[in-house]
Amino acid sequence: MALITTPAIVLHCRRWGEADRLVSLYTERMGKVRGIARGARRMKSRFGSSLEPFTVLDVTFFDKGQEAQESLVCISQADIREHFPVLREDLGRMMAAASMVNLVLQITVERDPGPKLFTTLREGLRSLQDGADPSLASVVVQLQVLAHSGFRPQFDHCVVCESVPSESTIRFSPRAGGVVCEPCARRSQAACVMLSPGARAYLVQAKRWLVPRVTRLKASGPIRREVEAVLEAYLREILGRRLPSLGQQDPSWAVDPDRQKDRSSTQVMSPALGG
Amino acid sequence: MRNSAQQGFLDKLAREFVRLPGIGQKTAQRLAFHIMKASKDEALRLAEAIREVKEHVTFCVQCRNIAEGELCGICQDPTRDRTTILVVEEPSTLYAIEQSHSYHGLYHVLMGALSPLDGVGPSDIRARELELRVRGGEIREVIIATNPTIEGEATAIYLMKLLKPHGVRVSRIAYGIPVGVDIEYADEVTLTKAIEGRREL
Repeated sequence: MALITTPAIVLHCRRWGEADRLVSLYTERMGKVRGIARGARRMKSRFGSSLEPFTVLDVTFFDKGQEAQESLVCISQADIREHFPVLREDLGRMMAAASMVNLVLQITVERDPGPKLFTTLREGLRSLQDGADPSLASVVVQLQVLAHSGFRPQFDHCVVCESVPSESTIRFSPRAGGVVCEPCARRSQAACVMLSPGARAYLVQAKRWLVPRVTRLKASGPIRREVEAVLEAYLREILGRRLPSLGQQDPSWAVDPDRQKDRSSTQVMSPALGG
Repeated sequence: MRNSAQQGFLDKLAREFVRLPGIGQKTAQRLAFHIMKASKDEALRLAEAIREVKEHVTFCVQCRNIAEGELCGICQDPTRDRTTILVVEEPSTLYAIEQSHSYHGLYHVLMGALSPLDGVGPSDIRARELELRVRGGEIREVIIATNPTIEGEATAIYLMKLLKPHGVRVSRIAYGIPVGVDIEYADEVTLTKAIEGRREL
C-alpha cells in the first residue's frame, strides 16, 4: 500500500454510504483516480469544501495498487490549492466547466497519467474564472482534451483522401473523425454535420490556441453554433452517448432560451441530402 | 434440522437489517439477536410500526413533505406563516430545520437538486410546482436552503431566476463557519463565504 500526494482536480463527487463521498479526481501523477473520503459530508469534516467539483487541490491518498481487488483509493487529506468562486455563482460558467470535466471523466481511463491533460483542464477552469466566453472556452478545452487523449479530430484536409475541401459548405463526418470532401462523403454514406469555411477555419485555429489565451476569443453566433454542433456530434460518436450537459437536454433551463431553440435546429445531414 | 431452521430465520432477519443504511454485518446480527431476546409484544410493535409507515405514510401533495394524508401536518397547521416558503432538497433536511425550531413558515421539498455534471435538469425536480405555489399570490418570501454544493448552488441560481419575476423576495440561507469550531481549521472557500456574508453588529 502506498501513500501518494499529488496535485489533482476534482471531476465529480457523489454521496456514498451514510456520510462519505465517492470522489473522481484527475491527478497530475496518476491520471484519473476514484476514491472514498470518509465522513466528508459531516458538518465538521476535515475535508470541508475541498472535494467540491472544479477545485484544484493537493490530495493525499492510500493506494492499494492497480492489481488490488478494490480499485478505489482512500483519501486521507485534501488541501485546496485553487478554487473558482465564479463557477459556483454563474450558471453558464458552471455548465461550461461541467462540460470540460465531464469529457475528462468520460474519455480517460483510470491510472493513465496525462500531465498535459491536467494542465489543459486547470487552465480551462482558470480561463472561465477570468472571464472567458464560457461556450468558446469549453470548445477549445474540449478539443485539446481530445487531442491529448488520442482523439484529435481532423479539420485541415479530407480525412479519407487527404485533399483540401474547396466547397463552400464543408462536411464533418463524426464517424470518420474529421472533414470529408464531397465525393468521399457520398461514398461513405455516413451522416455529416455541415460546416461553413469560417467555422472550419475557427476549428483549425482552436486546436492550436493556448488555453490561457481563450479569454480573448470571439466568434459570431452562427459560427459558434456550427462549432458546438460539430463537437457535440463528434463526442456522441466517440463516447457512444451524449455528454450530460444541462442546457442541451432541457430547454426549460431558460438561461438563454433563444440559443436552446437554435441548438435544436442544428443541421445534421446525410451526404445525399447535403449534396 | 430444527436448529438450522431457527438460524435460517435469524439470518434472514440479519440480512434484512444489513440492507438498511449505516448497518453492517455485526450490527445486523446484534439487532437480530436483540429482537429474538425481546418480548413478543415489543418485536411485533416494531413490525407493526414498519407496516403502518409503508401503508399510511406518503408525500404531501402541496410541499412533498412526509404526510399521513393528502396534506402534511405543517401545511395543515393554521398557526404557520403562510407568506414564506423554505425550499429544501430532501424531506430529511426539512426535519433537521424543524428540529432547530427557528423557522415557522411553510416548506417546499424539491426531491433532488439540479446537477450540471449528471445532466439533472429542472424537469427532474419540483421547480415548476414551486413556481405555481408562488404564482398563487400569497407568498412574499422564498428562502432557498439547498446544500452548499455545486448542485445546490445551481439549483439556487435557477430558482432565483425562475421566481424573481413573480415579485417575491428570494433569499439564500447563510454560509459560513459552523458553531463550536476553531476558525483556523476552516477551509478557504468556507472562510471566503463567511467573510462575504458578514453582518453588522
